Amino acid sequence: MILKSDRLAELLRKGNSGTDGDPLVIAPMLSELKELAASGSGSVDLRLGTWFMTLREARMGHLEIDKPDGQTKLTKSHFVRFGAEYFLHPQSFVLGATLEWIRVPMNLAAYVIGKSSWGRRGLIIATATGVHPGFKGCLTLELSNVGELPVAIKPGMEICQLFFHTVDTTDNAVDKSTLGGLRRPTLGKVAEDLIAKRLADAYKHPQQQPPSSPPARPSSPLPPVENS
Amino acid sequence: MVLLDNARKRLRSVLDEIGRISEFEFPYEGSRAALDLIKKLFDNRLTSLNQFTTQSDQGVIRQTCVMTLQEVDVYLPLLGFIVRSTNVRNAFEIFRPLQRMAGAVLEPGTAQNSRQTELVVSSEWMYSPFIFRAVPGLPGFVLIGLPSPESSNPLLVPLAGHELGHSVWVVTALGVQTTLDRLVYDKVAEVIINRWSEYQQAFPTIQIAPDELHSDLAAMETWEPAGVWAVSQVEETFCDFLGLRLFGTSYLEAFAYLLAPVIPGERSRFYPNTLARIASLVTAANAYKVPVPPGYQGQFEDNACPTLNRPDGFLLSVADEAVQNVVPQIIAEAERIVAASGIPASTPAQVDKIFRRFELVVPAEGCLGLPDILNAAWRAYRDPSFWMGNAQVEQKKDETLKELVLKNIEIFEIEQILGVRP
Repeated sequence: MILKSDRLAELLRKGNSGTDGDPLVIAPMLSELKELAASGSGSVDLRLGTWFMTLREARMGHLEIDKPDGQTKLTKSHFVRFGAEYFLHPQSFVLGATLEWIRVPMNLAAYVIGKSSWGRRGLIIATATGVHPGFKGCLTLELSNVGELPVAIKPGMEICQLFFHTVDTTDNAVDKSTLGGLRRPTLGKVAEDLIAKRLADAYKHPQQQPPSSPPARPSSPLPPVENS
Repeated sequence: MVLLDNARKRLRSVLDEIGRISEFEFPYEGSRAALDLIKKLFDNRLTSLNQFTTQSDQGVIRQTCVMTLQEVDVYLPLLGFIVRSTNVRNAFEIFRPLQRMAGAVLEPGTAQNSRQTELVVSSEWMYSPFIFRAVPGLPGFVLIGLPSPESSNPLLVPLAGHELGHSVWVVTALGVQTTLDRLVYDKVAEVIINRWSEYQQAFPTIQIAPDELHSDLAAMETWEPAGVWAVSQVEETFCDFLGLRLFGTSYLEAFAYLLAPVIPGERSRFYPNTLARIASLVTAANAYKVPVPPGYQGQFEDNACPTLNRPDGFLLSVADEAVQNVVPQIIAEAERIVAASGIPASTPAQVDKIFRRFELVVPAEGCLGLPDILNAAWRAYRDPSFWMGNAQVEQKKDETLKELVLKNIEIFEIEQILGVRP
């Protein structure tokens, strides 16, 4: 069930002032909660932060998503102060972060959605949109310009919106996301996909295998598969 | 004319480099403003050099070349400092709150939007934080560097209070240097008179009565080094007290993090030895009612003293004693400066409020000052049970805490800009 603005405003009012329990927090909360409550919408608007991250294209032939390359090798950070602009050209991509630090309680989850006014001008925001229960930190935004004209994006501007949903149960709910607790955008780590690895290994030519060491069996919940 | 030709080429190289630096991404205007002033200075100097002809006086040309070389020598490290101020390793969020603090301290009574103080915060490849003092071409600039590996660490921001103290020291209108200089010189003479037989043994050729210490030129020359060392030690002590008074316990914690047990090397005559310095800090903390962390003094040890001849050994001990004798006045001077700035002292209630928000892994809104945020941060950093059992952040407590504190500082700044009042 999507939370409506009056319920959101009530949760935020409690969360932004209290020190106990498992509150919903969005800080800084620059919109008036009264206005949010009265808006009748189903979301909270978030603003663009000051940190950005771009890929160092010249350093790689291509991006292998499952290779544990260091973030600093692949990416470059940029700081754009309030009042300055970042020009996102057509077909360009940059990671940004929300200005707001979010704390999602265990009984809620959220989705990041772009603002339609930006989408119609070619600016697409956040393709990995789920925010899990227990998340804490600034949200990394994937910003891309699919339009025809460069777009000037400015720290502090409203950039996206969060829709909150209730979660059925909080039993055994422990958030172990590695993406939280950060104020800057992050690539995050891609967990090793053992199934994909075993499938790929099965099709490797024998001469490509290391001669002295037998192939390691990754630990997996699935039973071992014999390659005939 | 080879001399002149080389001087012109050197200046053009510097100006070319300034041109390249000006294309960097500047996080704040302070760095760019400093760069523009240095460029203007070198532009003017090149114009002067270009006005010389074969008919010009060779002595004047030579002298101008010397001055040009001196300026390149002075400003080149500053250009490096400006370059490093743009590096994304720095915690840019601290810039504006620190600038506001620097303006309030250096220009008390001046409306915030009329203050002229400019700040450049950078990272440095020397471990000990330092400041460029009174750069002639950059009036009103405060230049603060933190060691590069720690330049993104907000927990060390309180040390900027010490560096700010050096800027306060040189502002004549604030009167700190004038007051304490005279006082400590008098104390040096007083200590020597109290230890007259030691003085006579250290300087057996000076045959004067104690009351001639201030009038006999030869005698004055003997104890002048003690005065110079004492003044420098008083300046350092004042800077410590200013940082302490501004930032409270977080200054003590940051100081210990960076410098305990001791900076390697022999004891410098221009600083109090470490244990005396820490003892003075604790005295000042008690005077300011700043809580001192348990076992604080035990973290430190003295530097080894350099091998000194008898006169120098005597003079250094005199300087040390004189500085200890003026600690109450230094405490009062730092208090006077901070009181005039209007910067509120950190309070336990505010620190506790922010700490409770940090426990929830969220920044606090409605903070009253940067020191409260940093004191709460140190309390969390020092608490071994902090975030214990919180699966998302327990294993990366230090990293998350730094991120959270920087976000809190940014929120504090946003609230200042928007006029949000708690």
